[in-house]
Amino acid sequence: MSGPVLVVDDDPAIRDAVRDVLEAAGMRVATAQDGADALEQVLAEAPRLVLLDMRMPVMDGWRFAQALRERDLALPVVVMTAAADARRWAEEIGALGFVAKPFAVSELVSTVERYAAG
Amino acid sequence: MSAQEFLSYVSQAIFLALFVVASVRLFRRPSWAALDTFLFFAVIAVILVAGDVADIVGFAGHPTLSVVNWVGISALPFLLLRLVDDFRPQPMWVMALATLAWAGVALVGILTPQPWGLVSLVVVAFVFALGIYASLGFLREARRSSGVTQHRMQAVAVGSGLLAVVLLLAGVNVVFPDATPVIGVVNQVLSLALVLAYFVGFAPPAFLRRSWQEPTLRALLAEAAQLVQLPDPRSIARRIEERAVAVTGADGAGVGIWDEQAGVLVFEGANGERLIPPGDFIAGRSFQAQAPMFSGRAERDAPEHAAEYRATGIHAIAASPITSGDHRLGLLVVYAARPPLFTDDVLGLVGLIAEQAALVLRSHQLLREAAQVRAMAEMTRLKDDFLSVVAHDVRTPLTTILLNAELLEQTMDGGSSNARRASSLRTEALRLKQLVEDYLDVVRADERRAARREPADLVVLVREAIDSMGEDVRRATVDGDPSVDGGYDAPRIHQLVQNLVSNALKYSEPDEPVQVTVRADGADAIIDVTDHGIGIPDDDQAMLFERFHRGQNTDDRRYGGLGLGLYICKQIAEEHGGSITVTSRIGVGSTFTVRLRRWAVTDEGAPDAVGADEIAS
Repeated sequence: MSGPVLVVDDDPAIRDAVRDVLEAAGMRVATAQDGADALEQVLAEAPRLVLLDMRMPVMDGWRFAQALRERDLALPVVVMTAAADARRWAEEIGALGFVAKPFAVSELVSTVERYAAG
Repeated sequence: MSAQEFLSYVSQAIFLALFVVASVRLFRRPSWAALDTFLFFAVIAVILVAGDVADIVGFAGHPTLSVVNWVGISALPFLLLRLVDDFRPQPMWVMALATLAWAGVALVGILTPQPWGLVSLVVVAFVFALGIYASLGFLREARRSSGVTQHRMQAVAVGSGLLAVVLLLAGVNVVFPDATPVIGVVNQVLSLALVLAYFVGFAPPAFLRRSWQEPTLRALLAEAAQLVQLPDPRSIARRIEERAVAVTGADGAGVGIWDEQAGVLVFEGANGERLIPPGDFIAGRSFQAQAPMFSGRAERDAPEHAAEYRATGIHAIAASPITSGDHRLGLLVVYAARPPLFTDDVLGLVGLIAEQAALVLRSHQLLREAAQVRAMAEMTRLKDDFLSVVAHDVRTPLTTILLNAELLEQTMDGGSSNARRASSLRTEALRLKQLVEDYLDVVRADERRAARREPADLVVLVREAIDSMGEDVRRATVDGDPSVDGGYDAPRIHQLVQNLVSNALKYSEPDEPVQVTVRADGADAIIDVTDHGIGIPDDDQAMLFERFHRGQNTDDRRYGGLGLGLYICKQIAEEHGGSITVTSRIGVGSTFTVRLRRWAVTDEGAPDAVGADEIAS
């Protein structure tokens, strides 16, 4: 049994909507509200993909990615941001890809399917 | 030849040289001071030459010769006094008394060929007193001035003091011929000293001038750094005026700041602003000619303003333009009631201070411009930051709306009114998204002037743009040249093509084709987008590429948008050094033609290095 897709976003409405979309596509989903929360989930759940917002309180996406590197956790990460330069963010933190907000259901599902491990 | 004779010849030679210098000066820049200096050395020259000639022709001891000597020698301290009076007026009674006394002495000499005795002693005392008085006058003047002028004044004061002593000793020697032979020797030595002092004072060699000037130069440079920090050109001007007065010993100074727009020099004084156009007054003339100017008699040299010069008591004016390279910054003018004794020195100083002023004012200008550029950059950065935050904060809720609308739509029965509502929610959210992106794009592009070019094939870029547009674009076909390489800003080209193609699709019937043609035209690339749609009225075509323009025949509900799409296209074309045009007929269709420069153009108008290489290959 492979792990869930971990949705990391400080906006609860986004978390819910993304979970609904992915669950409708038949995936298991876990959520986290910031980087620190996500880090705990990563250790507990071993997700197959992390959908990562960049701008968050407590621990932002950049520091979360750094924390992953420090712990040698080679997890597939996809940046999910409303910033204009989503591609640059993805390159900077070494993510596999990105989805720029706002995105359509099909865009989200195809991106997750492309990069999710297992 | 004895040592005494040798000394005598050296002194005489230097005196004659000084006479020549004084003659040249009088000829080149006539003034009362130059005239009196000339007379002074002329009298000495006459006495010396007359004596030598008399010696050679065996005329020595002739009564006429002693009359010439008498009149001449007694005239010397009188001329010195006049010299002092020329640049610093002496009390009227002093001058009157001295003139009368000299006339009396001269008369005595002429009337009584051998006026020895008590009379001679009185005369010698008079000559001595006058010489010392003049010497003190020079010394006082030296204390008021600085730099080269100060040193020259001191030398002249020393020379004049020595002259008084030499004349006194000579007089004593004549009255008491047997007193002591030492006096003759002492006098020869003193004469040499006095002539050397005069030489240094009246015709200082360049190396002396330079070494005297150095402290002034140093002070000016040291001060320049502080002046640059003053808040505005006016306060800098005021400090330079003070400095000019202190250094030249003039009565006053003014710095006019050049006002490019108004075309006037603005002098700020105690009585408010004074505006002087180029060519007016001596200051304006100097500025117009961009050359230093001096006038020893302003009321004669600028007769149109004679009344004003007389009223203010200003007669001598030195003006020097303050110019740094090609930048005309202003003008420095220094004025006094009387011309200075050493005009050339003062002109040199005025020039130096004008140079300092140019340095300071130009630096100040550049610092201010740099600060403005920094402030602009900071403002742009703040605006960018603000826009990023706004964009981020708008995109986040849009994401939720879009996803939920789509989820709703999927769960509804197709064709139900709720499904229609959900679909409408999604479409409007997409439209809102497009509006926000367009708006942000325009605001950003207003600050961006040049494309970020990278080598690419324009045909590939155009195809990519159309392919990523989705289902509807199957109607759009691409033809033209197989490849058009160059340096392009790829995301912007994508945007340009997508805007034009989506317009073409939007304004034509669903079964009408849209043709996109890409071709090279020398250094340019051309993209044509042709539709067979509703067309654009002639009245609209001129305004089509303006911000927020909407066509008259476009129904807002049917064709959504802010009217920014074509404006953005125009910006993208211009970023690539190109243009966008349209030809259209109502009911027939439209063709938008974008012309781009394939390569970045350098200032010389030639393709840049990378571009040139790629064209060649």
